[in-house]
Amino acid sequence: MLRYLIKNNMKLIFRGKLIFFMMILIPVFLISMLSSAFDSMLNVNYSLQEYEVGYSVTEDSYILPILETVTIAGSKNHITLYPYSKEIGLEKLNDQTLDLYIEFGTKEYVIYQTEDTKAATMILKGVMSSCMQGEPLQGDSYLVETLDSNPIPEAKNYYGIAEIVYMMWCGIFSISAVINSEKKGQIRSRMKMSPTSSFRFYLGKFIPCVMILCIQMGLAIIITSFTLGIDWGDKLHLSFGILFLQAMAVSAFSIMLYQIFQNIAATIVACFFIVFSWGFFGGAFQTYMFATTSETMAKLSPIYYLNRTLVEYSTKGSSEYALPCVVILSAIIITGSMVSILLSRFCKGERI
Amino acid sequence: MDEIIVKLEGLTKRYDSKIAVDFVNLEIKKGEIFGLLGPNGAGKSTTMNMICTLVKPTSGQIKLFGSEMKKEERKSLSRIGYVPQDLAIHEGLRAWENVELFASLYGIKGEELKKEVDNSLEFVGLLEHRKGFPKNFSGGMKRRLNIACALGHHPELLILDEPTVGIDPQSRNFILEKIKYLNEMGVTVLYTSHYMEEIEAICTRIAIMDNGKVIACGTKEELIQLVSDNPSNDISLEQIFLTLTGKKLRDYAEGVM
Repeated sequence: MLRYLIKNNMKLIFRGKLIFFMMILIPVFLISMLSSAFDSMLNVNYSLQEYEVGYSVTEDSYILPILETVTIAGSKNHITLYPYSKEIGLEKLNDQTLDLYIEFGTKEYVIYQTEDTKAATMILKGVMSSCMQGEPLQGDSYLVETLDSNPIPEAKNYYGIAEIVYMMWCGIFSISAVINSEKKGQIRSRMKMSPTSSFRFYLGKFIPCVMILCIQMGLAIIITSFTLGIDWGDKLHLSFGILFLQAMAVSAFSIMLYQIFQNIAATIVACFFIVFSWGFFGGAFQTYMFATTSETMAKLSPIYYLNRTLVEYSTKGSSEYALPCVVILSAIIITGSMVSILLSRFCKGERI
Repeated sequence: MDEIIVKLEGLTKRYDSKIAVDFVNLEIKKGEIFGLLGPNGAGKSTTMNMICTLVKPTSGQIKLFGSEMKKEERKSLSRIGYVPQDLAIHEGLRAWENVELFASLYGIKGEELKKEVDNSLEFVGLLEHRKGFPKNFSGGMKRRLNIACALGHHPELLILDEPTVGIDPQSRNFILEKIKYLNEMGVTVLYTSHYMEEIEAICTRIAIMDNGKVIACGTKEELIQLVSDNPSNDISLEQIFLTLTGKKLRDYAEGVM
């Protein structure tokens, strides 16, 4: 009997064409809009600019023995040194064709910078300080350490993943066609009059909701992959496994909210409020976007773990957030399902 | 001795200070078409809803098919067909899909289900409209589909709550004929309606409720005896009803005494 319940509920969802296609097209639209709007914002703190630095050296300068070392170390840190006379160098700095000019004296040096190139000064000073330890430095007697850091996703990939995660939480839309139809007339009374258990009625909504969400988000992923070139990385099976688990969690969560409120409008408002809060506190991968957001609040959001897991699968193929993500989603599935079934069983006259 | 299909013993439903159903005792025998009559707010729907497990009684007992309802709820429910007063059909599903869905809830599947869907639709005269959507149906067609959805699992007890509201005389006559035919096939029927002539035409026994109580119960002849000394008097059911319940208007709002 469950098969017929699922089949007919899916028909009700598919026949609500507007909502069905809306759930596919909204993430596509959001991904293309947000990835282009925040492209520079996402990358500004992470991409190291190439700096061109002019220099002059006096014949008795202390720097001469290690000048080659400084030049090599600078190039490793995106700083290229060019010899210029002070007059030409300062003129180029003024024209912004150079980022810095450094004048090496006998025992001192002077760096000329502009307001926009203070970051280059910091890097250059770091390079100088590394090279001058244990003077005179020879060849490889200094160490410039390159630290391993998490690869930063491209804006389109980041938003391509984050918006799919976010939109899927709005899965209440997908099941609303069934809920709305059941609310009409006395359909729920007739259903309750049957010997079908609350658990089967729950599965009759849960399974179609999961299947429809998978179809909708799957189509959105395919469209954005082909049109916008969203890259989900090499661990597709892991990413899609997490998304499938999320579809189950979203379905259980949405049905639970409906069982609590018993009103589709109130359920949608509550769902959006909760998902917006989750997204606000824990949705942003980069905390500079919401500098005042507390880390504790962020970690209470399932979206925090989902975004990080899927984005890290995309960029480096593994994620330490995967385990907590699976645990949290499983907890939502179990809690949502139990609450829904208990509410429908103990408030039988009103809820199905 | 006739088998008792429905037995209500001291059935009471109280909403805060208001008593909707007040210690009702009733018996419906196998093969009867039992009519439940009463003005608005008399407690008919609440009584029916308690039999259907849609409303929990405050006190009292319901026995269906000889078993106590609380103990054998699922088993009892599988033997009941329910036609609610408001339509209980999905507008977004075709006629055959609606019948299939509700029949499948009773465990019918496969070829048997297909057969029952067609039989039910044919019974209510909608077989040729099996692929149509209810939103495109007339009021009478919707009412017939509403009945078809309650027949797929071959219920032994059919509960109909004002199944002919708002339809034309032809459709009403068709439905009444079909109810009589079902009864001839052995289905026990519990029927409520505001149309006295319907009750008079099809019911073998009638209970009249007022203010939550059963004030009279019996065949039409037995009811006539309650209001007239001469049983041969040609008194309509409406006259009996008005004599027993009075002519005062029963404007009634939920939760207001």
